[in-house]
Amino acid sequence: MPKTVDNTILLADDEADVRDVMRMSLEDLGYTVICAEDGQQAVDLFKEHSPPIVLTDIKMPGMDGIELLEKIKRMDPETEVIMITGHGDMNFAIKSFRFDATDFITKPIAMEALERALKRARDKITVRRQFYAYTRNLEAMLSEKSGRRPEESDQTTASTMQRVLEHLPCYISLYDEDLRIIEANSYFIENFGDAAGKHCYDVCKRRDEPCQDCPVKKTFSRGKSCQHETQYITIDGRTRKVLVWTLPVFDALEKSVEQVMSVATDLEQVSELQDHLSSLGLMIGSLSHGIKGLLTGLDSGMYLINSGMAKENGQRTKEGLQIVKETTERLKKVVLDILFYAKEREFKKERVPVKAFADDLSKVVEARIQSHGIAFRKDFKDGMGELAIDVNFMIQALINVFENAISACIDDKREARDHEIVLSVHPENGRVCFAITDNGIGMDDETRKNMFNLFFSTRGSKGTGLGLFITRKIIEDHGGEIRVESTPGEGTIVSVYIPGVGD
Amino acid sequence: MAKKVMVVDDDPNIVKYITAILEDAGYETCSASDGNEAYEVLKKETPDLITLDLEMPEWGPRFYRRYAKKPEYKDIPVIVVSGLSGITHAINSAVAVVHKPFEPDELLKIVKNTIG
Repeated sequence: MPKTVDNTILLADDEADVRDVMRMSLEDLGYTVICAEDGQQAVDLFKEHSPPIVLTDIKMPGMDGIELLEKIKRMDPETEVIMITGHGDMNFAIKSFRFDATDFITKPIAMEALERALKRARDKITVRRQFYAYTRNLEAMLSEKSGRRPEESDQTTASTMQRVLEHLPCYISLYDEDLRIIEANSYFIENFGDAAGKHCYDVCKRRDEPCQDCPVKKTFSRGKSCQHETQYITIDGRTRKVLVWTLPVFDALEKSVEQVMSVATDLEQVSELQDHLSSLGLMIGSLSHGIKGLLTGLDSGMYLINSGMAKENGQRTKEGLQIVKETTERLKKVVLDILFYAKEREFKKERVPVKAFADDLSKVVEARIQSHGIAFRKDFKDGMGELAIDVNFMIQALINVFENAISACIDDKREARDHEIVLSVHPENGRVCFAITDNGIGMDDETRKNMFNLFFSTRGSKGTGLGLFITRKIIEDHGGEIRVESTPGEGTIVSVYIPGVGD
Repeated sequence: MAKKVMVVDDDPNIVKYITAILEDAGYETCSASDGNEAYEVLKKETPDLITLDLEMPEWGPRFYRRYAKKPEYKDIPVIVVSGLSGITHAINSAVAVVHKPFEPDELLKIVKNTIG
């Protein structure tokens, strides 16, 4: 490992034996390990040693790993925090990614996975350092320029530099003390519009007032560079994760900061890639385990069928058949989901009349809904124009929504409640809305917020956590939108909007 | 008297499978679907052997550590049955680790060698 990267690791786990084993293994790999028994102790030790890498168990009594992650990220956002999770902690794992955890590994800990995660953390630290070195060079160029009297040769330096700044794939902008934008490079203007004279918080963040940890302000007051990770919102509403580096531009006497230059690097592509990699890793872990479970389920069914037949035990044979049937269904779904997620897809879009598509969809789902004793009602008429869609994918996307509606009704155990699922289709402002309404158990806000996240599932071993994630992806890839309204105890309406093509 | 085996797994199909295999071979069985329930069943049934899935709502190893502290239970042999790879050392004193999916005979042989 490179010498420049401090090789201290802070390890937080409430279980003494796990801590011991991990410490020994990490020391074998050449790390210096500091151990904490709980979250609070970890915070104290972090303050004392400021290690570049932290490894923490998610489930700990008192302050749990997520809270610890948040605290550490607030103290030093550049710390690489690796989460350790037991099986069934997937929601926590996803939450920790949202708080910007570097990675996570599952218990029982496989050393290979741990080494991979550590390597990734170290790589991130190295890349960030390179980036800082590079911006520092920029800074040097800048002070060179502002420090010297303008001469002939400087004109050329200045214009070369301007060209460089203009075309760097970074959002570069110059601010006065009032946080108004004086100048910006073309990449900035492309993404945030011509913003000269406006406030940065308005342009980049759509806020009415300056942000709390404004690095530009800090640079004005301290006369030093600052760095800051944050999110910008572009002119067309996309969120971009950025790393901001601010540089002071001094006046001719080098006494006070006249302007501040901000260089913001878009981390979104990096983090998209990282998300994909992380979720693939996550997926292989959780799915290979899931598939092995399902295969064993198949064995179970076959064993019961065979031994049932040998013993002429009809009941046992029947049970076996039922298990085989269920497991095959689940296995099929998992495999299809994986194939879908693992492959770049190309849609074969065709024009279909909305009515015909709605009829086809109804046919597919009707039997499934009714087999659970749930009523199905259609609410749409002829002549709703056409759609340009990949029919197979779109049907799959909508089936996933129906699957959830069916589960919501099955899970509703209240007596004397007649369950119904309604498919209503109608044109709305040039789009076609497919509204799927059920009167099942409904969802709380937490579930509704998470329902489209990868690997979020409320259905335990029955759900893969892929279905609705895929649904949303298909719909968005068609230029559409999916909205959910739900009230616990009353039911859920999922509205899918797809752009129409004429009447 | 027939020996009794406790099957701990959160998948009911797998519980059904393992108990059927064992019962066909003449063992008595009892079962539990998570670590907490397993501890209750353990107290009531005092089995001669435990088959334990590792990934359950109340994590398998945690259940193991809990009962292994009690002198009256600590000598009950445990067979780990799991779909996770790299689990060989999760429970050091396990008599064997069986990977899902497994052969019924493989499991039976281990049970027979352990408790007869």
